[in-house]
Amino acid sequence: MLATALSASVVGVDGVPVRVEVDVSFGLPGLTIVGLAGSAVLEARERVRSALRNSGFEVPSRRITVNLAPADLPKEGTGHDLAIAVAILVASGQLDGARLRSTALIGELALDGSLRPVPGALALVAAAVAGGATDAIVPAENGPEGAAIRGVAVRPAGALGQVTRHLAGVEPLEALEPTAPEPPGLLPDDAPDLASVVGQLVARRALEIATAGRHNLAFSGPPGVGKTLLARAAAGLLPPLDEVEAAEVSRIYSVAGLTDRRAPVSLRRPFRAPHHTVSTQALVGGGPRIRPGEASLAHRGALLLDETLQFRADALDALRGPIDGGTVTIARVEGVLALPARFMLLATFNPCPCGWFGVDGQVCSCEDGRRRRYQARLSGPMRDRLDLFVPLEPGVSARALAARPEPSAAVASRVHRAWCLQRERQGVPNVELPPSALDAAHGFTEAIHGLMESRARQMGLSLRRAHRATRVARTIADLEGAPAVEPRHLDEALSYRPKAAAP
Amino acid sequence: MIGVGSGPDVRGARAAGPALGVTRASERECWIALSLLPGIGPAAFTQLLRRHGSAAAAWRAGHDALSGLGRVSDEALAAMASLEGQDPRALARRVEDATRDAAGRVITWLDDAYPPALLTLDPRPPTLYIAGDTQAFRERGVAIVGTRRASGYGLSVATEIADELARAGVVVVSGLALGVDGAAHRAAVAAGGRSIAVLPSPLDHIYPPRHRPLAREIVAGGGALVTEVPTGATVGKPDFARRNRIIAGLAEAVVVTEAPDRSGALLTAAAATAIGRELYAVPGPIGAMGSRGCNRLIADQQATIVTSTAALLRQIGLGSGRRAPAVASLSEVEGQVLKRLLERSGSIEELVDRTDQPPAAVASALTLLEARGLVDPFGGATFHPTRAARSMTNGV
Repeated sequence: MLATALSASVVGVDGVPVRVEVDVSFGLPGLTIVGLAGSAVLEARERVRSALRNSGFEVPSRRITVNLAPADLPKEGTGHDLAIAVAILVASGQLDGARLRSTALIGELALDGSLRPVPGALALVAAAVAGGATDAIVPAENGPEGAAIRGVAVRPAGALGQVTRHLAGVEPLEALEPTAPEPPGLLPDDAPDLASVVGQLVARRALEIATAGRHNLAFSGPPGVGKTLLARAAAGLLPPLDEVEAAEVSRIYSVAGLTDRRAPVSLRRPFRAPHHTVSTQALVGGGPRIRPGEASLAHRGALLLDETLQFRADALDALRGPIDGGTVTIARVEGVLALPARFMLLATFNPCPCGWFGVDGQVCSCEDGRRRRYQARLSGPMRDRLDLFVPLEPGVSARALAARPEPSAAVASRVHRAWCLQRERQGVPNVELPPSALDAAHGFTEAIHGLMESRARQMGLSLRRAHRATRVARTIADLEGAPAVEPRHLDEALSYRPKAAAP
Repeated sequence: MIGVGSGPDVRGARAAGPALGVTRASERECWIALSLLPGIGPAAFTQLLRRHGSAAAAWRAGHDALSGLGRVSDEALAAMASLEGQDPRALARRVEDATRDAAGRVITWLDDAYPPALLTLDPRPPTLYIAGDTQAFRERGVAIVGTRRASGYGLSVATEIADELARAGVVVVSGLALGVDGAAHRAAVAAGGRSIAVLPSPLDHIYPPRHRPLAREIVAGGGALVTEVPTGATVGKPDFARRNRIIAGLAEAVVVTEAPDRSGALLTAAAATAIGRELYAVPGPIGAMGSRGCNRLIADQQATIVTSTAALLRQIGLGSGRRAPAVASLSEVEGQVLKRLLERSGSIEELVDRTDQPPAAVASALTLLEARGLVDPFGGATFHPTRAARSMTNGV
């Protein structure tokens, strides 16, 4: 007899609906799984067999063939266990399969028949909906995560027995209330408040502009001037995610197995700060079972590379793709996979290994060659992709000491207003404005283009640099609420451009 | 032969040539060949000439020529010993060909093109390798030297002085090093003036490699590259000590713009004092590590203090090549920022503090001032007013 159950598999950070077909026929007893199943899927044979037996069912001593369709899609993970077990029960006549057509079954089976959580439940339930399911049974721990998806009744279950009783109509499983996205709340616990940063007015201003338009920002300076503190404060300035963005972000976290199970969907913009010893794979994603890297975990948020020049050169280079295109591309024999990774880059570094190069009144003790090799770690293409670059200098004036620094909340509200203007006008942050959008409809007059060209000539800027500055100018205008970009906005944007190292 | 007869040794060389039946050409070839020997520097060369009367005679004497000289290195002895049977003509031709390939010429005392300023040195380099226009050596020259790890201050001062000197028609001499040297050459070329770069390396291996484009610009601008290191020589450590002496020698005055303790620029300063060139030093703030060498030169009264570019030019005996004052209409904030900068250079952060204006206004004012050529950050965080800003008369 033949039975079909609905399940789903994770590819990259997306779910794909999978139909689990089981045929029980005469022949040598055995259980075969086909359909490009990975080793974790193949091991389902043993888990399913034990789980069925220990839940009071019988494993038919006949030839059982399991096909995971589409059969040309490589499948990984343990989330198909439940669907396989139930389909075997239906195919062998131990369970009525009437409800199977509209119910997706997701979960890993323990040998005693209980259900274990799986990573990526969000993406899996979303895929099941796309595959036509109106109900989804998921492991209890994955319940809130699955319930974040609209248009499907998500029913958490603790064991195979509960699932079969539900499907038989004996003891229905309760459907969960849809999970509401978690509001971003106040400051993230680990984000320093700008109220604790004395002085550094220019760096604060640059930080405000960068977070408002999602521009890439770099702080350089000698040790102890507050580069890292300021960069970390960005976490408290980023505006909350909208619902579409939140769905994208939570799906990535779900696949990475990093979901906060109580609040699976958060409106807080991600802020990731990997250590400089991070491997290239951990930074951009990959590995034998493809996992999203830090770049994808920072999707729609910020990626802080503290001590950027200490990162491995190949790791930094691997970030060029996502900085330009917003996706990490992983090429495999089976095909090319794209993981979303549209983040704002925050970089901090010392100007040279000893930290004092170019600081007036100080002498750098680095040997020339060593300093040049160090500075060369920030490759030209990476330098080109920085929108704002602020050299920080030590020393705080008496005036700055006397002034009370503005707290993060005040800055964050200006950033939020500027972001709302961008969303209404173009739907994307200014950093993502395509060259074709640098027109009158977006507040760029002929006069501004003329000024940009003359500044580029006067200051010897490349076209790419000029365009990046133009987008920063748009953000500066948005912070003011100005509909059109004015010359002073462009001039201010240009003052934060990365400068060539001293000759 | 013109411009050579300043010392008895040289007259001896010229007289001895014909007497021994050696033609002028082969005396020059022996001269070049002899100067190629490792371990034979200007001092040993001069001694050989004095003793034997000519390079050709010294060459013929071979190993014996050195035996009477004091303080001769083993290296030189070995080199002389290996000379037996070698053809000086071939040696000289080889280096002349290599130099021509590097777009240069070999110039000895015997040649008219030998820089007249170096004739006053004793000992003087017997052979120079020069690319570019040798007319540059016949004009007044002033050397600008300083640290390779220059701050924006050092770079701005070097730029301003070089610019001013070039406009007054003075050749700017320096060592093509990173930092101050590069800024001085660049400013001189940009002002349309001639510049001379004295290299610590052969013409076919210009050091530092990063300044090769700058070297090309210097030659294109009517300036010259000069070195004592034979073209095609095995590239060893750059010879800074001998270069510094030539820098000082080619100039009538040496200006040290920024030098910490133990800077190479201080060696050039010492060479300038040793050979009797005027020495000037630009003072720095008392706490600035990068200017300690300069401040010490001034404190020890080895160097004359440079209080302004105009004062320096007057002391050297030049009028200021002042351009017409720039006419600029500046907004209130721009004027305020520029005024503060004219008092003292500073970073955006400092200017925000000193003007009490918001960062946004100061940042955009600085871009405008930079675009108009009134301020220059020299690639760093500190903005410096340019010469144009100093000469502005209207309303700042």
